Amino acid sequence: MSESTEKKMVRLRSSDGEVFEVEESVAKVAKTLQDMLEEDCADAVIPITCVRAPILTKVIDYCKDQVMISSSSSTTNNPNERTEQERKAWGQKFMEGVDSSTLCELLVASNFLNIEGLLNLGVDKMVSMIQGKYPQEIRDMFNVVNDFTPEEEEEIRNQNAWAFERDPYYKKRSSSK
Amino acid sequence: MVSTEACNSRSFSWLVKSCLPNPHPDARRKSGFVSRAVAEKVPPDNQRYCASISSLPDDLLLECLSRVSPSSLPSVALVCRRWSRFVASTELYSLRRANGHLRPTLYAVAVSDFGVLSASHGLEPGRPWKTVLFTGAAPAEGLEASSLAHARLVALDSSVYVLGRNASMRYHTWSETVSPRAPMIHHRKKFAAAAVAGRLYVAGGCRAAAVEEYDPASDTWHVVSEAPRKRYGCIGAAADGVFYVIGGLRIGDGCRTAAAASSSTFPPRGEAHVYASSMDLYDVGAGAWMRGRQVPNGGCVVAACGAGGHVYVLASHAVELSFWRCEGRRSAGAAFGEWGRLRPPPVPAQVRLDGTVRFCCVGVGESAVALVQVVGSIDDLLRRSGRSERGHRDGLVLVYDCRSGEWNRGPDLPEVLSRAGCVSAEC
Repeated sequence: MSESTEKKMVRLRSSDGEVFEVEESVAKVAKTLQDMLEEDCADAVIPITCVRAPILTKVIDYCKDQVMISSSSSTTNNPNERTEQERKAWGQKFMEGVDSSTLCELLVASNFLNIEGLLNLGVDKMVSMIQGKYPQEIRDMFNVVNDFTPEEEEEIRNQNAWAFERDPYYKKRSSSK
Repeated sequence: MVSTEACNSRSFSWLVKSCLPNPHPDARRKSGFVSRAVAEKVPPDNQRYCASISSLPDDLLLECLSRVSPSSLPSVALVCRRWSRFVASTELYSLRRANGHLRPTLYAVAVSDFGVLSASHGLEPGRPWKTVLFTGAAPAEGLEASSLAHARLVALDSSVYVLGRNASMRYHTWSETVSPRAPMIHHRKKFAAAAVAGRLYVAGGCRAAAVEEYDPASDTWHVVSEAPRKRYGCIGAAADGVFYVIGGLRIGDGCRTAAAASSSTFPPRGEAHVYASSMDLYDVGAGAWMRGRQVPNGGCVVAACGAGGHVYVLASHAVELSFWRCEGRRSAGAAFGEWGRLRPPPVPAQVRLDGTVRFCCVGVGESAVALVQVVGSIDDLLRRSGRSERGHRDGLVLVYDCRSGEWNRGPDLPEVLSRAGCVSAEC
């Protein structure tokens, strides 16, 4: 850490065997890795057994960006500093085009590596995908199996409200039954 | 129920141990549930690991669901069993509460011939009431309009319990479902009901002095105490762990001796009007009755509620209404039980509320009290006050801001709800 000229590198191995070499500062964005590095219990190559290479690439992208922001935030007038709005927009862009299964893997990865910012981005993305949808749409999107028995479905139908004086989405749902 | 183990793992240290060389082998034992789940999902060759939403640990999925807007929750509850269980879980409620996603919402529920009607309002200005109708067979079973005609409403978390004379149901506001619940042991009518510390309490409204407690987890009622006074037409309220049984009329003669024995300071041979302006305090934690209190000026209590550690009481006198606040926080010490007179609601003077017009008093959050006119016509009142509007016969809604002491008019209760009960739930 003392030699600033030569940055210490950390090697991470994904579940499918690909090895990534990243700067220590980038790896340390992940709290899990930070703890390991500080406790000095990391091997030459750290195995990240539940994260596949494409997901790990995305995670490393995120960490690199975080390092870029924090390293330059001390200097005044730096072009990388973001306002709340820009951060939101950046987060949205980062999550753009992420499909549901990638998103789930990202969530698991950021949970495992303990990267709070990424976890938050993932959860928000998930919420935006869930909101305003019919149950069947949610099932299709996330490959969830409808495990209610026909009897249970009938019971639920009986218990459920028929809504009116409400937004059109609900009118649509109740009339489609 | 969702495993609590799985929900408490915000520090994910155990997950590290399950995948990486582990210096603390005992950590794995502590969190057996989820680490096992993760281990199962990692194929032996570590090659084809593919996550789906079903493989997310409980706490991650709960975190996602805790941020979904309330209007999308009914859909979420219908996706599959696991999601449905989450929407009904207390864990989701606690998480939404911790994340500040809960808003106090005023609910009015009425049972009509064609189903159970519910209207809700978040007290935001300019927003209309949202009305839903349950036509299904489930709530109708043993829940004819008659058995819920004088039902009392109590809210627990995001659920509204509708307690009728001999039938009960639960309206879960998130999944927008109603389902039958165990009825009270004694058939009660015009009784006091309130929620204290996650349980429901009812008293009065029947010949027995029994105070019943309802445990929502086991869906059972049991008798916890005997009330010092048997009241009919009383109102329940809760503040700081105390169940208040307020007002009403005296039932029978048998209570006289009981009343005399229980309290020396309280008028022992209470006539009906004394009952109407008094309240009994049941300390739920201690399981004991505290000294009874008298509403000042001897008015007849027509509505009451608890809000922010205070008990608010609307009393009717011969020609006027008075509005009171009783200090209910026991940390207040000597000030506990002290009364303060508040600005009366802006209804025209010379109103007799008993009989023709009935109000429900509801504490909405910590700092608002809503007064909802659930029975009667105020056409006369409007005419007398010189207003020419029509269509305001029913459902006047007045909201008292406990901080500023101001009354404001809210949107009228939808006309379709007649003889509704009102309550405030957090959702």
